[in-house]
Amino acid sequence: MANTKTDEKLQKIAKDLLESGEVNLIIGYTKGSNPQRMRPVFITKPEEAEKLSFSHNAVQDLAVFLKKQEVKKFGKIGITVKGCDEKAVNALIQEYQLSRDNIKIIGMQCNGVIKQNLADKGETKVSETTVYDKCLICQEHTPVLYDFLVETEEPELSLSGNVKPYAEIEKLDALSTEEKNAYWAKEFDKCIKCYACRQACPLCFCSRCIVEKNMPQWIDTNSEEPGNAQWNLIRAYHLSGRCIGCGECERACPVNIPLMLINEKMARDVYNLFGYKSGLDINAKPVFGVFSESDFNDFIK
Amino acid sequence: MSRIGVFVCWCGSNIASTVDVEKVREEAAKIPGVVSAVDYKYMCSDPGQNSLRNVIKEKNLTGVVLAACSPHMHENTFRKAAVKEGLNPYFVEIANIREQVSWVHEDKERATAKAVDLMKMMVEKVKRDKPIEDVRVPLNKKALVIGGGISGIQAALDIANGGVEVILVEKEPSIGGRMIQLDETFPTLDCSSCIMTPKMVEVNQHPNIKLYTYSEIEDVSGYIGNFKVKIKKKARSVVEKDCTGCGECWNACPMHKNVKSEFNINLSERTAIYVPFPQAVPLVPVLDRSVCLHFKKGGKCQKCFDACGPKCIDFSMQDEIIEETVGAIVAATGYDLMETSMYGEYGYGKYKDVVSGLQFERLLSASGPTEGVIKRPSDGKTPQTIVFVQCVGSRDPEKGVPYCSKVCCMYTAKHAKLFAHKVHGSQSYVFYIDIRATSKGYEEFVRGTMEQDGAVYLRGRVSKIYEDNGKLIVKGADTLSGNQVEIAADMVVLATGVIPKKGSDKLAQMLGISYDKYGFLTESHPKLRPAESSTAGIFLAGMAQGPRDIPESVVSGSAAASKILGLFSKSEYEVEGTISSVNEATCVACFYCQRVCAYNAISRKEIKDRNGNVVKVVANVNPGLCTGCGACVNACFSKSIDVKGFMDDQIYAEIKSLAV
Amino acid sequence: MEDMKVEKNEQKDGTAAANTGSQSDPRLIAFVCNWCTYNGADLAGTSRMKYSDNVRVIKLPCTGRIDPLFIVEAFKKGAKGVLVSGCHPGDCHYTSGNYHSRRKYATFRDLLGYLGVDLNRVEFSWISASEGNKWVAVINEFTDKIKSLPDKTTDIFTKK
Repeated sequence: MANTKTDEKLQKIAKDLLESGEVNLIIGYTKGSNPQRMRPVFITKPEEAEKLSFSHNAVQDLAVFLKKQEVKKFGKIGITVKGCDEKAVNALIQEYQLSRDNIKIIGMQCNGVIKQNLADKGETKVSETTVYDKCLICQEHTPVLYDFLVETEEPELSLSGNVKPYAEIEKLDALSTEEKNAYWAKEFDKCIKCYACRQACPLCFCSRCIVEKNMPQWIDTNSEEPGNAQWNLIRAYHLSGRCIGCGECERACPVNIPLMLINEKMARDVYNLFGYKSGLDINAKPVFGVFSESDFNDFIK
Repeated sequence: MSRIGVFVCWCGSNIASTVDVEKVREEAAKIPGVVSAVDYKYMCSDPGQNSLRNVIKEKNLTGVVLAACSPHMHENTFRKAAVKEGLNPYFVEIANIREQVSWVHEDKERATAKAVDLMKMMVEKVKRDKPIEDVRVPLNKKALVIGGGISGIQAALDIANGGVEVILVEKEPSIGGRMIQLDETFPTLDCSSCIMTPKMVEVNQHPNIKLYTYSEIEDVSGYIGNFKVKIKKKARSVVEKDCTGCGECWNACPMHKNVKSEFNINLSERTAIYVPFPQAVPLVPVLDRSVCLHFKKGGKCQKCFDACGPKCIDFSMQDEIIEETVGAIVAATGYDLMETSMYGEYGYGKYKDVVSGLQFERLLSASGPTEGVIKRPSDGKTPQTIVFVQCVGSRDPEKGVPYCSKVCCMYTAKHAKLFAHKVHGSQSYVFYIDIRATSKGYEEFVRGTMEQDGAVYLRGRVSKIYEDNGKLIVKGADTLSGNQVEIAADMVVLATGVIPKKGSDKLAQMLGISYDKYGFLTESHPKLRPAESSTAGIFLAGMAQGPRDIPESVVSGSAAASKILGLFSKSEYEVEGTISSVNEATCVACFYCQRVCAYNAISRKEIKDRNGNVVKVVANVNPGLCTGCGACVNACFSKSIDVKGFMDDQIYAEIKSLAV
Repeated sequence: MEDMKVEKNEQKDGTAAANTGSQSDPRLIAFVCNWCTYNGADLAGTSRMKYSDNVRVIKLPCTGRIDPLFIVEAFKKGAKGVLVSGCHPGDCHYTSGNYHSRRKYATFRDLLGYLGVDLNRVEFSWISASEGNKWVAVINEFTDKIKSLPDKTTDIFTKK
C-alpha cells in the first residue's frame, strides 16, 4: 500500500543527511497506528530514518514545527514537504524566521492528499472528489524550491472541471451585505477561542499573539461576539498576502469554521490587487513590506 | 494616580459663543482623575499661562488638557509653560474645540456636547501619557561629500571654510565633474575651466579637505552624527605623494592611439596611463589596467615605469578600503547624458558628424581635441552649417523621459552663438519645442543668439537625418509656418537630455535615501526641505536631484553645506522624543517594521547570553533616525513596537471615550 | 427604541442634544494624519465653513500609523461610520506612510466587506492641508450617507 519506492528514496535522503551531519533533525511523516493516517515524526538518528514515509495521507503541514523553539534549537534541520507546505518554508525565509542555510528541503511531489474524513472512512483513491480543495487549485505539485526531490508514483490528478474548488467564495461574494453578515455571524458564533487555527498555522509565528496583548486589549477574549468576529477578522487580516493556503487552520478548527473561504478569498484579492502570491520566491519582498505609487486607489476619495 | 487639570479656553467669544465653556468645565470636573477644571477667557495670554502654571504647582498636576484652539496653534506655548513648572512637555494635550468645534458648528448644545467629547478624549489620552525625553545624538563633526563636480566642490569648500573637516570622494581620476568639460558658460560666456580650476585647486590645497579621487563609496552604515563609511580607493598604480605630474609616463606609454578619451567623449584618444585632462586635480595619472600592456601581456611592457623619474609607478598596487566616521553626508553624484539609441532616425553613432551637446562642448573648448577650432569629426573640416536639435529625449514620454532637462535650451543658444563667433559667415538652425530661458539674463541671451548671431529657430521636431553627398540632410517640421523643411547641414548637434549618474540608485540604497522613478534623489520636502534627503544627516546637492544649471547647482551645494554647518554648530543633535520603541521580549524579528520604515531607523539587534552566543534577534530603533511616524507600529503583527506620544493604548482609550 | 436611547443619554449627561450615536444621529469617528487632513480640518475652521457635528477626530502622526484594526475598535464602540484620511499620494510628510497604509486598507476593506460589514460605513480619503472645503464635503456626504443606510446595523462588531 505504501509507495515503497518513494519511501525508500525519502529514507535514503534522510539517512544520508543525518549521517553526514548536514542536519541534526529531520521532520517528516510516519505511518500512524491507523493505516489511513500519517503522523509527524522527528528523526535525529540515521537508523531511525526508516520510519519515514509519505503518501496521499500525509495531510499535515509540517512547516508548522519550524516556528517551535524545541525544533529551532536543533539548528540545521531537514524537512519533508509537499508543494503547498514548502511555500510556508519559503514565506518563513522571506520573513526572516528561517535561514535558507539552516534548512534542507526534501520536496515531495504530490498529486493531492485525501480529505481526512474520507480517508477515515476508507477512501484510498486520489481523485478530484476525494482531495482537499487546495489540491484542486494546486500549481505546485512539484515544490518550487527543494534540495532533494522525491517523485511521486501517484497518477496525475485529473480534473473534470465539474468540481469547483472553494465554490462557496463566489456564492458568498454574490450575497448581500446582510446575508454575508448573517453567514459569518453564524460561523463565528461557533468559535470557542481555542486558537487552534493559530497553533496549526505555520505562519502564525509571533511569540506573543496580538490576542494575548492587553494595554490595549485588541481583541475581546471571551468566546462570544463581538470578540469572536474580531479574532477571526484579525487572524485573517494578519494572514492576508501571507497565507500559502495549506488549510491547516481550517482542518484544526474543532467547530468547523470554513476559514479557508476567508484565506483563499484574501489570497485572490491580494493577487488581484498587487499581483502577489505568497511563498513562491524566497527573494521576493512580502506584499505588505513594499508599495507601488500606482497601487489601487479607487476606493479612496 | 492621575492628577489631571482641564483648562477650558473661551478664546474671547470665539469658543464661548458657540460652546458652553462652563458646561465643558463642569463635565471635566466629573471625570475620575481630574482634580482641577477651570475656564478662562484667553488661556494663551500671560495671565492665562500663569493660571495654568499656578494650578500645575498648587495641585501638583500629572497631566494637563487644554480645551482650546488647534494644537498647531498653541501646543508649544502651553508645553513651554508646563515645562517651567517641571511637567514633562508631552503631558500636555490639546482638545481642539475652536477650529474643529466652535468655528464649524452652529447648534450650541450639540457643539458643547462635541467639545465635551473631545475634552474627555484628551483626558483619557493624557492619563496614559508616558514621560518622553528628547533624544540627543552625539555628532562627529566631519562631513563626507560624494561627488567632486561643481555642487560637491562648492559644498566641500563651504563646509571646510566653516572650519569643519571634509572628505571629498570622487569616482573619476580628477575632480571637476561635468562643468570642467564645458567650454564657456551661459549667459555670461565666462570660460568654464577659468572659473572651475581655481576652485579645484582650492579643494586640493584646503587644509580641511581630504580628497579621495578614483575612489568609490563601498558601504555606509550608522546614522546622523555617526555614519561609518567605507571608501574604496581604487588602485591607481601611481604613488600619489611622489608623483610630480610631469607627464613622462604617459608620453612613454605605447598605447597612445588605442583608447578613446572618456573626458573628450570619444572625440580623442588617450594613453593607458593618463590624466583625463591637463588641469586635472590631483595632477596624478591613473593607469587603466584594462588596456595597459603590462597587465594584458604578462608584465613585459614597463615603459612608463622606466620613464618615471621619482619611480612612483607601482604595478602591484591594490585597491584599498579606507574607513571614515562622519556626522553628515552630501550626495552630489551628478548626471549622465541620456542614451540616444532610441532615436535611430537621428543617426547618432551612425553618422560621425551627429554629435551630442557635450561633445560639441569639447569641440568648442580650447583644451579640447581640436583646441577650440570647430572641426567636424568625420573629416576635420570646419562646418559652415549646423543644425541643433533640442529636446532629444527630454519631454518625450514615448521614447525618452517626460521631464524637461532644463539646461538644453540655454546651452543650445550658447552653442549657436559660439559657432557664429568662431566661424564667420556660418549659419545655424535650431529645432525646438519651447524656449525655456527663465533665469537672470537668459531670455536676453537667447534673443541675442537669434537676433545678433542670426541663428534660425524653427519650432518643431526633426523627423529624419540622413547622409547625402557629404551633407547631413535634416528633415523636420516648422510648425509655425506649417512647412516641412529640409536643411543640408555639415554637422548636427543633439541636445540630449540628462539622467541621473549611472549607479546613483545603488548609492542611494546604500545611504538609505529615496529616489524617484527616474533615479533622481528625492528631497525630504520638495519645497521646504530641498537640501535634505529623507534620512537625517544626509543632504543633497546638484543634478543628482534633477536637472539644474550651474548657478543652481552651486546654490544647492552651498545650501547643503549651510545645513551641515548649522547641524554641527550644536554640540549634539536633538530629536523629538516621540519615537518608536521595541518590546524586545515579544519581538520575533520578522522585520516588517524595517521594511516599511522610510528612514532606515530600524536595525537588527542581537541579544547575546553571557558567553556571547546570540540567543535572540530583535528589531532596534535608532533614535537619531526615527521620526515617529508610526508606520512600524502598523506593520507589527504582535504589537511589539509602539510610538511614544501615540501609543496604541492611548488611541484605544480615545476610541473608548467616544463610546456611545 | 431610538427615542428611549435618547432619553437615556439625556439622563446620563443632561445634554439633550448630544450626538446620540443612533442610526438617525450617528457617531462618526475620523482617524486623520497630523500633517494634511488635520490641518485641512483646521482650515475649514479658520475659514468658518460649517459641517455636520457628528464627527469626532482622532489625530495620529501619519496614515502609516492608522492601523486598520482601529476601524474595528471604533465599530465596537458604537461608531456608525469610520473615516480614515491623510495626505495625498506623494505628499506624505513621512515619505511613504500613506502608500504602505493604502495597501493595507485596500486589503482590509475587502476583508471587511467579505465578512459582511457594510462598506458604506468605512470611508477613506486623501485631504490635504489646503482642502478645507474637501474636508467639509467629505464629512457632510459621509454623514448623510450613514443616515440613509438601513436602520438595522449590519456590522458584526456590535454586541448582539
